[in-house]
Amino acid sequence: MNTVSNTKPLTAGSIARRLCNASAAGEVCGVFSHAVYCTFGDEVLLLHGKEWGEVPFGIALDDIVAFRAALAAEVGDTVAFTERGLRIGAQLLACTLTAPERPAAERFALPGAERIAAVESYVHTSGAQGGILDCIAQNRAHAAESVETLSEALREGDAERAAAAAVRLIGLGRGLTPSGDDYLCGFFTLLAAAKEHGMNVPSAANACADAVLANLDRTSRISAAYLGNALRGEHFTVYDRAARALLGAGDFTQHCAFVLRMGASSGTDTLCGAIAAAKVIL
Amino acid sequence: MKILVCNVGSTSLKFKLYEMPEKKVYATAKVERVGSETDAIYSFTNVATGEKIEKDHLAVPKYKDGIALFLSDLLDKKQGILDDIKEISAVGFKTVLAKGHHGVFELNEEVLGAMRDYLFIAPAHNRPYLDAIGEFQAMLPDALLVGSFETAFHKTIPMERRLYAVPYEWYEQYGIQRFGFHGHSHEYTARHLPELTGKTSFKAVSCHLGGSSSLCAIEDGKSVDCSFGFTPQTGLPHAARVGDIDAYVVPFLINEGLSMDEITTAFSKNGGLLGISGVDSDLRFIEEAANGGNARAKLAIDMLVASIVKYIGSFYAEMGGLDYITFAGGIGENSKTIRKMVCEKLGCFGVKLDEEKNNNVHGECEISAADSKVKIYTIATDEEQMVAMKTYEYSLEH
Repeated sequence: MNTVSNTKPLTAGSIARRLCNASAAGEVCGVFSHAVYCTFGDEVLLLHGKEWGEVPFGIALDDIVAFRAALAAEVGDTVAFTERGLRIGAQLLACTLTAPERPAAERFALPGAERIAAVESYVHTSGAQGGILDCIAQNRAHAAESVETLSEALREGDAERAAAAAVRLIGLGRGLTPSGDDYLCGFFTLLAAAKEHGMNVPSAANACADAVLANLDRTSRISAAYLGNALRGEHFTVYDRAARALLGAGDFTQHCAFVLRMGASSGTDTLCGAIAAAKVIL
Repeated sequence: MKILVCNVGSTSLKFKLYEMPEKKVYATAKVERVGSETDAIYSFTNVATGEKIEKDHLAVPKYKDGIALFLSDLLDKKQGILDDIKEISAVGFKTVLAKGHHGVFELNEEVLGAMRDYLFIAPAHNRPYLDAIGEFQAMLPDALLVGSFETAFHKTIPMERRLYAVPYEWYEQYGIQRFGFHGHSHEYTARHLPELTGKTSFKAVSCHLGGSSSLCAIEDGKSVDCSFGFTPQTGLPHAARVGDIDAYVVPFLINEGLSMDEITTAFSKNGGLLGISGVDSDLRFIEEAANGGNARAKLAIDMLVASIVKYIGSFYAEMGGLDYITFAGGIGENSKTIRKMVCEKLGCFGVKLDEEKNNNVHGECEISAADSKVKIYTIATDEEQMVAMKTYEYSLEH
């Protein structure tokens, strides 16, 4: 067995640490240039670059590209946590998993229409295209109606209608994380950030989140991992930073620019969801 | 005789210029995003020289602008294809449906009027064709414009399978019946199977699976049943169209408060594989989502397969046997998953796929196992060539 050298302890989200302690076994299900996805039964583990910060089901590596090259991991390889570290196929990633240190949350002002409009304009002038925007434009699978109804029903406190609209968005669109899921991820991440900061979030949002959680089999396992954790309020550093920036903390361009670079249209879709949620609580 | 074939979509135009009866292709072209002032895409291929012209970010607000792009390249001296536009003797269109017209017709005012009569039931098909044909009338006034209707091949379906059990007067007064569509693709298969197998007497099911999907029962080269009915909204689940549904769903939904417009939009744009999966209308993305664990995406695929199997089973019984199954269209030619799932379900009829052949299909292939009682083929149907042949035959007779 070849060992991939790793001199530093690795930061990991709560789910990744739990999987490690459970000595679970799984398999590699997706290898991308900056991310390796593994499944452990119904759970997903993500090996990602440390610039992503904390992902609840992820382990942050100093150099994901070099790590991937060293592993030459192929889909279908087995994965297991052992006493010596994470074993993928015939390779061993010697590691000590630690919880990340989170910086103190920045204080921020109440969201204003101006800030939201500025972020919206930034997203659209960044060449945002495809994804949920296409789905909305074509009203594919009633996307336009669902997006509109979700916001409207939450404002009106109609939990049932909001939940039905949110559920219709699950799994909508193409790619590893479908556009509808990314949109919901951004939407609920923003609501969680707002709630944490003591803002008034519509009570119907809880029932809505529960309905989405109960229907995660409508999307892929990897996307369900992102969406489920976002809905449960787990900490995603990059999404959280963008949501806080949208709500008024610091310079939004830096954090939003990072999210916009994620995936083919995932970043745009996530920010579109966050913007819609910000408009709901404004 | 030079014959131009034009395939018109709601936002696209496809052209092929033929020399007939030799079936020689001089040039092909495609315009996408017709209607765009800034973002249309155009490609032109001179088949003789292999030269390809590709342009994007074009302004093609109307069909006439797309047609003009193609005609100007045909007349370009560098291409050496046409010296004069009058060399085009006829333009053939793969038209879909016109009231009381099921064959090949000159597109005169009477026939265009009959197409307008069926705008309500085939809006996505007849509207673009009516618009484009109007432009050709103005731009090529000397050419014969011919419509080869998709329903023509299915005229041989016997009455007991053609009619719905509605009051007979509806058939007489309104023409309510199963017309069947995708006639050019199924007829191509019907004409091509004897060339492939050396047999002129056979029983086959032709599966044209794509954005629109249909199955046709073919006996000795003739259509004897088709999964499509009165409109292209029926039959198998399509990419975004609903397929077969109980007629009483409509009054029920109206009673529930939905408008007719909402219902028809859902049936024609938000149904089918898109409606069930909630993912996309493109099967490639639905398969990807299903492989990733999306239960609704898997359900959409299972429903498509179940519907195909159901029709093949009933066609088998109607014809009293089956010699060949053919797969054509974007899904039929390219989805080894759908072919495998369908054939596995048909094992009771002696249908047996050769997995290795199925996994390595390129164009036209036989993919059945050596001991399969039913031979299975993928066929790259050439609908444009069928239209060119029909247009040529019509122009000789008239």
